[in-house]
Amino acid sequence: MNSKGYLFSAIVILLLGSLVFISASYLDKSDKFDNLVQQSFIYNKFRYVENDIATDYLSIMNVTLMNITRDEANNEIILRFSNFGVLPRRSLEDNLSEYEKFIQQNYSKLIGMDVKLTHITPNMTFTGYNTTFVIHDDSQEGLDIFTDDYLSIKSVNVTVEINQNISNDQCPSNDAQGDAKVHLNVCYNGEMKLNCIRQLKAIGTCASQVFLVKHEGNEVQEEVQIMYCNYLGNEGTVKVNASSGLRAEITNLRYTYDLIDAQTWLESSDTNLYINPKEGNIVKNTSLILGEESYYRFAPSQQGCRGSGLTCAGYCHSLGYINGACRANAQQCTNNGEVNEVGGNQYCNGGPSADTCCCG
Amino acid sequence: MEIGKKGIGFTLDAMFALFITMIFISVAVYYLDPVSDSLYTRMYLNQLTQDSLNVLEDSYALSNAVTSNSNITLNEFQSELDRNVCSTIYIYDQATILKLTSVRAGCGNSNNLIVTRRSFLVGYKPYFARMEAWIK
Repeated sequence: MNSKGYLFSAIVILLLGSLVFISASYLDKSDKFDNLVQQSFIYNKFRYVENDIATDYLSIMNVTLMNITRDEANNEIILRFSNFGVLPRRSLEDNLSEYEKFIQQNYSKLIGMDVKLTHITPNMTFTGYNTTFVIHDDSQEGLDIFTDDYLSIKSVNVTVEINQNISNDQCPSNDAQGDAKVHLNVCYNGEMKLNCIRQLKAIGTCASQVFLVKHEGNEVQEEVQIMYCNYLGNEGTVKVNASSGLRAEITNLRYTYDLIDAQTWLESSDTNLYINPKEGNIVKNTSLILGEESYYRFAPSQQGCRGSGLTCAGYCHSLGYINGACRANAQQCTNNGEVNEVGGNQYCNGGPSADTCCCG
Repeated sequence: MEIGKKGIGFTLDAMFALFITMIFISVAVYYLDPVSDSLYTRMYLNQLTQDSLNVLEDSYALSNAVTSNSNITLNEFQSELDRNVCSTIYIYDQATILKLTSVRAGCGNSNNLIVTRRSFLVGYKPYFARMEAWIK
C-alpha cells in the first residue's frame, strides 16, 4: 500500500516538474522570438525610410516606375516607367540639392535616426544591364539612355505626348539585321500622330536612325527627336530630346531585355544613403534603391497614348490600319470586318473575351 | 479508532499533495507571466501607420490636404481604419511648423502610442506627416 503511494507521489512530482520545464523552455523560446521580432522591426525601419526617400526622389525627378518584371515564360526582363517627365527639364539639380539638405538637417532629427543622403544626382542606373538614364537639366540635350550590355536589349518603347499639333513625321528605315526593336509613339491631345516600329542596329549612326516629328516647311522648327544609335561612342544609346518651344512629356518608357539570372534593380547613380537606427549595431550604407524586381507578370493596359504605349490599336496603326480592338477570337474580327494581326495579340490581355487583336 | 487515524493521515497526505501542486503551478505561472502581447500590438500599429502614410502619400491625399488646407480626406481615411484603432495625423512644413491636424472621431488620449513619420513633397517643397496610433 505504502509503496504504491510513493510511486503515485513520484509520478505526480515528475509530471509537475515537466510542467515547470515546459513553461521555462517556452519563456526562453519566446525571448528568442521577441529578439527576432525586434531585429525585423529594425530592418522594417530601414526599408520604410529608404522607401520614403526613394518615393520623394522619384517625385522630384517626375518619374513613375511602374514595375520591373521577370518574365520566365518569354525569357525577358521588363523595366517599365508609366511616366518619365517633361523634356527639357528645369531646375532638377537645384530641387534635388534642396531635398538633400532637408534630409540632412530636418529628417534625421524628426525620425530619431541618423540618415545621410549624399552625392545625389539626377541619373539612374538599372543594374544587371548597366542601363544609365541621364537627364540633362536646363538643357536641350533632353534624355540619354546608355546601356553597357546593349546586346541584351530586345526592344525599347517610347511614347511622347506633345502640346502642338505636328503632323510631319519621319521614321528611319527598317534594318532586318537590327539588334533591337524600337517602337515610338508620338501623341497630341490623346491622339496618336506617329506610330513607328523599326528594327535597328545598336552600332548604327544617329543621323540615319532618328525618329523625327516636326513642323512642315518654313514654320518654327519645333521638333521631337528620338534616336537609337552609336552616340558619342556609346553603342545602343537611346536619345530623346525636344526643342524648347515644345512641351514633350514621356508618358511611357519601356525596356525589354534578354533574361539574366542576376537580380536587377533601379538605383540612383552615385547617390549614397546612410541609415543608422541607433538600435543595435546594424547600419545601412548603400546606394539609394528606387525599385526592385518583382516576380509577377504585368498586363499592359489598353490606354494608347497615356499608359502602356503598346496597344493593339497602336500595333494596327503601325501596320497602316486605321483602328484596332481586342476581341474574343479571329472569327469576331471577321464578323466586324477586321483582320486578326497575330503580332498584336500580345497586347490584348483582357482574358479569353479580349485576347485577339483585330485591325481594320 | 483505527479508521479515524487513517482518515487524518489521508487528509494530511492530500493537503501536502495540494500544497506541492500549488507550488509547481505558481512556478509555471511565474515563468509564463512575462510573455505578453504588447510587442505584437506595437508591430501591428507600426505596420498600420507605415502603410497608411505610404498610401496617403501615393494617392496624393497628403499633398492635396496641404494645398487645399483641408483635413477632410484624412479624416475620411482614418474613419475607415480598424475600429479598435485610434489615430491622429499631423502635417508639418519644412520648418516644422504645424500646418494641419486630423483626429479620428470618438477617440480619447493614450500614452501608449506608436509614432510614424513620412516626408512628402508639395510641388518640390518637402513636408512632414506624423501619424500617432494606439489601441482604444
